[in-house]
Amino acid sequence: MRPLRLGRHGQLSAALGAVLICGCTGLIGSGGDGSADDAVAKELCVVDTPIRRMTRFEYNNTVRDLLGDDTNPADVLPPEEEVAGFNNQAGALSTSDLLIEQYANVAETVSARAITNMGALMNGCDPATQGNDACALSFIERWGQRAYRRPLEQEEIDRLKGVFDWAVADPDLGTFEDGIQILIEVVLQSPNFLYRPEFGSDTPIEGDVVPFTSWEMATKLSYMLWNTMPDDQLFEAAANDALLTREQVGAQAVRMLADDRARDTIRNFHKQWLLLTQLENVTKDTSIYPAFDASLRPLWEQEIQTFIERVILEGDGSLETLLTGNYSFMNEELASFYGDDVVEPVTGSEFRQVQLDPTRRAGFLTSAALMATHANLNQSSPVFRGKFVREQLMCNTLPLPPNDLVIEPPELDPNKTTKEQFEEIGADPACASCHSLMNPIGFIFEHYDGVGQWRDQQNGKDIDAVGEVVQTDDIDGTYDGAIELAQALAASTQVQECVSSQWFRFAYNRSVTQLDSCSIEQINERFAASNFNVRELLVELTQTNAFLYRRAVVAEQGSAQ
Amino acid sequence: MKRRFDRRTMLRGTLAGGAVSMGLPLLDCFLNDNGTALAQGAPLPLRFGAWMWGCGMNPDRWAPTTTGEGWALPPELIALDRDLSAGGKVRDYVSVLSGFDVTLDGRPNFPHSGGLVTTLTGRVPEQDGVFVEPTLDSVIASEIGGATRFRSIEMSATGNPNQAYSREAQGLPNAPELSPAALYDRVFGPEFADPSAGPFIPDPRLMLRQSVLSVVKEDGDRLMQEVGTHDKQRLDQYFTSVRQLERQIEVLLDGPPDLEACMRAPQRSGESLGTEVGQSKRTNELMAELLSFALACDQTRVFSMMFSAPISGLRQAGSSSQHHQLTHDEAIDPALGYQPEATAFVLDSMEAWADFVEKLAEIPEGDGTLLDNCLVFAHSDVSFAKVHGIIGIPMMVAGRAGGRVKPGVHVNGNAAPTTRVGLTLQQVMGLNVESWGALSMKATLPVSEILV
Repeated sequence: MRPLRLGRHGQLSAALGAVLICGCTGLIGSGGDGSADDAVAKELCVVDTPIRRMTRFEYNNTVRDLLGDDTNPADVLPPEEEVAGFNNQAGALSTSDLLIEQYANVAETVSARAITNMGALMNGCDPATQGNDACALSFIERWGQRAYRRPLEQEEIDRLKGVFDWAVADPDLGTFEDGIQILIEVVLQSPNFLYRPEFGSDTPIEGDVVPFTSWEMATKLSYMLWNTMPDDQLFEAAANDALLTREQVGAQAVRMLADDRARDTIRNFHKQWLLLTQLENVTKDTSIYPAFDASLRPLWEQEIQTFIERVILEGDGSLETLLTGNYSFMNEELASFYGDDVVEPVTGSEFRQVQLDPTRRAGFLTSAALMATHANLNQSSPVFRGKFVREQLMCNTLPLPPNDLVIEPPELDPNKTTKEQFEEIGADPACASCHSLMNPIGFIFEHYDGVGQWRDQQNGKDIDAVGEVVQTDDIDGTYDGAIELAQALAASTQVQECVSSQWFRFAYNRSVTQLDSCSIEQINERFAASNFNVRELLVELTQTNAFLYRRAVVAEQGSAQ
Repeated sequence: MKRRFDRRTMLRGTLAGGAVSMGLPLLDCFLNDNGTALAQGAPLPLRFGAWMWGCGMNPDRWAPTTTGEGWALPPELIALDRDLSAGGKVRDYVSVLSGFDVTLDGRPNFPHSGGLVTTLTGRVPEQDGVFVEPTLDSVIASEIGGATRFRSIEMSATGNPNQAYSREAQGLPNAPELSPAALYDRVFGPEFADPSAGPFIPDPRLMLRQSVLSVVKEDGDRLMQEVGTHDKQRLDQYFTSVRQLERQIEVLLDGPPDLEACMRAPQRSGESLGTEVGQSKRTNELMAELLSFALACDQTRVFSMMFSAPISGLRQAGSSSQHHQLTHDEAIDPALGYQPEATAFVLDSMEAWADFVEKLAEIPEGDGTLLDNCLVFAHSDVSFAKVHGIIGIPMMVAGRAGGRVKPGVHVNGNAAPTTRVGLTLQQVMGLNVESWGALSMKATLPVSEILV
């Protein structure tokens, strides 16, 4: 084992101080249960993640890459529970009887489909000439290693070969293909496939802190950056034990972000972070918004996702551009929805990059996808928009409405603007303490009506998009319109750190704990040094001790428990 | 594949092959003509179910004005006035429980989850929507669910896959079936043994599955020995469900149950999944029928149905106004004294509840119907949804529970904790429990008015 550099960031000791004060016990993960070695793990900011079960999205991607099955077979499985805003949180990926039954059904259909293309599975081995046993064994070793994402133990090879032999000896199954199918069916239901077990290597770097093995690291990287299994290059690096140092891991991360598979992950993250899952339920009162048509929803989603993906993976990658960029991606139908906001002609059904009027649109925040979602059926909603900015971009937790409060949103008043109406209710002291956090931020978006189109007037009155933002870390002040606000948000440390913590939760599949303070500090420092480049942030997430190391696993075997 | 799976030859082949060495159970089970769970003359099984609708009701229009028997039907329970084909009306089989409260002991009233979690688990949630204890149906399933093919069957008619009603300990969700067709396939698919279908021949695919599962378990054994304590608990959930699946296969291989009322459910068409209340009602009705056949064949003794979610997303056909949103946004009509659009969903929910009860009463069993041997608990998450009321959570109980429960009664709890109902249900189902719930929600007295 080559020596590893530790704690290259000078802030470790400061973070340690914070940790000692809090003295929390790390409910999330942690293989240890209060042993003397805890101090070392704490000092190094090593926090374990519970064993992870694949999400449906990851299962679909994995069987696509493992068996060429692109039918999304996991779509029939019960959905994941969403925790802390994401559906990939290790602690919430529990199992149920129905899930296990359906895993069995899915394994039957996927394996049956897989053997219809034996050529792809056999990798050149021909049972007719080389013999059933030889081809079965080579399949088990080669394919099994891909499925379990590590070399198989002899015991496992023997077991799978036993399954094959049994199926082939059975007069009613009996064929080579039957044997292969049954063993694929077994593997697809094995916890070695469905879960991502991580033990680390045998040699601690200090105390009971061990680095992940190269095989484990290949899997960690691929599921984090691609939401799927490792590719051949990662497997090759694992086989060469070349995923041990920060530099090796970082270099792979850079390579992986240039691969198309990273697009899946970027979209998966933003779909959840920006609540784009709500878009499919968006509908409008067409007597008020005749421009609305349900066929716009997929276009809105495609617009915001394409913009984000291009900025991060092909553009300058910066949070600033994500929040303030004055271009987007549209086809003719969508461009006609945006009208004058698009400053160049767009024709045809293909999406292409377009310039937007920089006085009207800025980044993803003012997109119709968000403006229409965070609005009511028949009017804009300063409350929903303010809440979205507070919770998703500033990571605020808003207090609950008081008990037994009768909530009466304003009826549409044809003589007032939405802002005037909400200002009247917001003035009620019972509401003001919380709604002063949300409504004024929402007012800043009042140029976007309930469907997300630009307006200068409402009910014959000029739009007043001035709002005062209060109780923030660093952007308190009065803003006139979303362009000003977006610029302030992009420069806000609170927002920058919120974005990195959202990515932390998504990438590490768990919440941030007190013990993560030095990892968080390291990530934020590097994110800032990159001028808040999200691509760099993703690479940096592979560079923390929390990503590179874990506590040695203490199995209970033989203990007195 | 299909052509190779001839039942008889496959059976012979499987047994002649290496099956035994693969860890298949011994052959005794095939030698048994009938199910062992229910020898002839044994009493009919007792079943428990939970049925919920979201967003409550209007207390003054829902609760009967007199207690005991013979109460006049309040406007929002008019659906219970339905005639049953076996005689009597739905209301004759339903007791109404009003005036039972949730008390928070100073904790916040998380809208739509405070009342729900407390009523179902006896414990006030400390975080929004977080269950710590198992829900009532799981508590009861862990006592009586072991004898049947399915420990319990969870169903949802909400059209939204992201909502679980039934929870195990630590809040682990029991994922529900969302589609009647999927429920049919799961219970009455090819491996279901229909007692009227001639001599029982075990389905060879079941044995194949059993072999596959036994290897899966062996493959996971080593992992279980190597992982740390916390991960072991997580993997244990996985293996518990794998064992449950093995158990299902064992029960199937035992042959059809010896129950007169058992037959394969009819396969219905007309499934339509979505969030229109009409779709949910259809799903509820189709699932209730499938469930009634599954119960008659003793495939399970515990079930749950979420008709609509606490934050109900149901809407009327052609409208985008969701039930939950209406409860907050719609003004109270001064002439009517209630919110007309939101209240329409209450009436729909009560109709769906009547549909569910009616289906259970359509299967003859023993001297009466299946419903006589059921105990079904219906409830909502709140009382008056506009204010997230948790005073007077609406609850009902249907069925006679094998003669242990007296239906057709209205009980006013007079501010007693809702957990008294949960305690009563557990005791009726034979659980040895003297108190249930924590702090102010600790209940020690059953609701004796509904006990025989």
